[in-house]
Amino acid sequence: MKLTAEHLQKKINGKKILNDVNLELISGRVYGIVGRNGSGKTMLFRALSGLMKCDAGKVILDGKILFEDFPVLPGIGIILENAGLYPELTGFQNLKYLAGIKKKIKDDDIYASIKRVGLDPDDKRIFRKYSLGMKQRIVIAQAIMEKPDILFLDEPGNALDEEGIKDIRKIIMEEKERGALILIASHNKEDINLLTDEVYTMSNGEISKMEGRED
Amino acid sequence: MKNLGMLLLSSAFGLLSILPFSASQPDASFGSMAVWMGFGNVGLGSAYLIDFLYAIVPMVVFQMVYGLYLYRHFCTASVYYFSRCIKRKSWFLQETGSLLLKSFLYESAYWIAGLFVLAFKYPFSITMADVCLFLYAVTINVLWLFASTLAVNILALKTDSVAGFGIIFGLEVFFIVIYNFMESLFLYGKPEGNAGKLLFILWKWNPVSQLVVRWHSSMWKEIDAMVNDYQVNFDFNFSVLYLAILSAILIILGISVISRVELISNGMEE
Repeated sequence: MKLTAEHLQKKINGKKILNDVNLELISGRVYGIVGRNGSGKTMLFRALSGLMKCDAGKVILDGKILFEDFPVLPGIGIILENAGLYPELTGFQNLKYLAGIKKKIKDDDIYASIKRVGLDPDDKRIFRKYSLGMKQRIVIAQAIMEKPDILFLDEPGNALDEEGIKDIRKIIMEEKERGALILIASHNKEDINLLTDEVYTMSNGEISKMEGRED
Repeated sequence: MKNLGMLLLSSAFGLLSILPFSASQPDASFGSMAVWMGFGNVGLGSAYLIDFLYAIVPMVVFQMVYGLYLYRHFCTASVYYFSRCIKRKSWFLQETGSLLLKSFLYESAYWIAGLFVLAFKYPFSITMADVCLFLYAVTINVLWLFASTLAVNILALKTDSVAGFGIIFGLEVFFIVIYNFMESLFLYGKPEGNAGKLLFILWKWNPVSQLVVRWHSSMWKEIDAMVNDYQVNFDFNFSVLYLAILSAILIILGISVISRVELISNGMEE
């Protein structure tokens, strides 16, 4: 599977959020994106996934063009910074509800995903009552539960303690072994060094490959 | 649970609406009950303004609760919902269908509660005209409830939930005030000439006018005899068509809005 971004451009309120972004990503590899807050990392995730339309440029998945051949990128699991789940549902109810859209997985798969991120699937607390770390874990569980071909992870280590970060790193490596294409945005240099095969830097909406990181 | 709770609440509203009627009427028919429950206790004129606002409370409660029915998917979980939901237009049509069903069930609970009181208190007799009048009243109320609640959802998408509900509720109050202040048209004689025609058009096209059963007319004499208090040409079919077209316009508008929503802003109404 090959995911390509060609000359992506996006302006919001006159400000260039994405400026001629070009990328080529393939399955079974982990790509990292680093950059300051507001550099355009999250916007790039939204543009690549089809949650936001660009003013110019194309996103191509195996020769098929986003918004022409499909309205959102098929087979993606995504986590975005600050995006939560339904506050009045429990973790399991949230994932079951979201899984009901594609109807690809069963309750057992949802249970397994929740356990995989170190949470209790039978926890009766609603999402609103979760701690920040628990919220992050359950959001990661929703991203991986359907075994997606593509994973976009925006700051996956946010709000996690040391143990949590270890768990998530293990999951990312397992997903890579499974053959998923993984794109991670992180402020955590250790995450980037340990997990990624290639690293890109973003600044003012422009992307460039960080040299000396190709394995 | 929420849906069941809403049905019980609607039944309670129905009972509250019919009790003053059953207490004051020694004799009543199915048709007269439909007239009463269809804003029949609301007169025309500024003195009835509060009565009208009170009568519309069951609808406002529904609008408050289900005004977030579609909108909630565009809040904090929007990224995770719409990265999976590929066909947004068919999703929207399914959800509006579900909202229409909820409007129907909510209204049905309201009217059936009245029907029970009627059946217990009075010797039960029913005619075809009664049934038709009842169906007209329920259809008009369901369509209005659906259209207004859908409008809250669509406006919430463009603004936020409080503004969405606030604008629609504000418009309802505005139309009720206009409706009630048009008393000169009927109570003090119809103005002549173009002014009279304009007032009549304004009154007839006022959305809340459609809700008041007893002003309507019907080509069917038996039904017309139960309603048409002011002998005007305001056929039930006009209201049904008016509200059906309004609903269709809102559905088309909604499809346009949800297709254009870009899931950029994070943490909406967390």
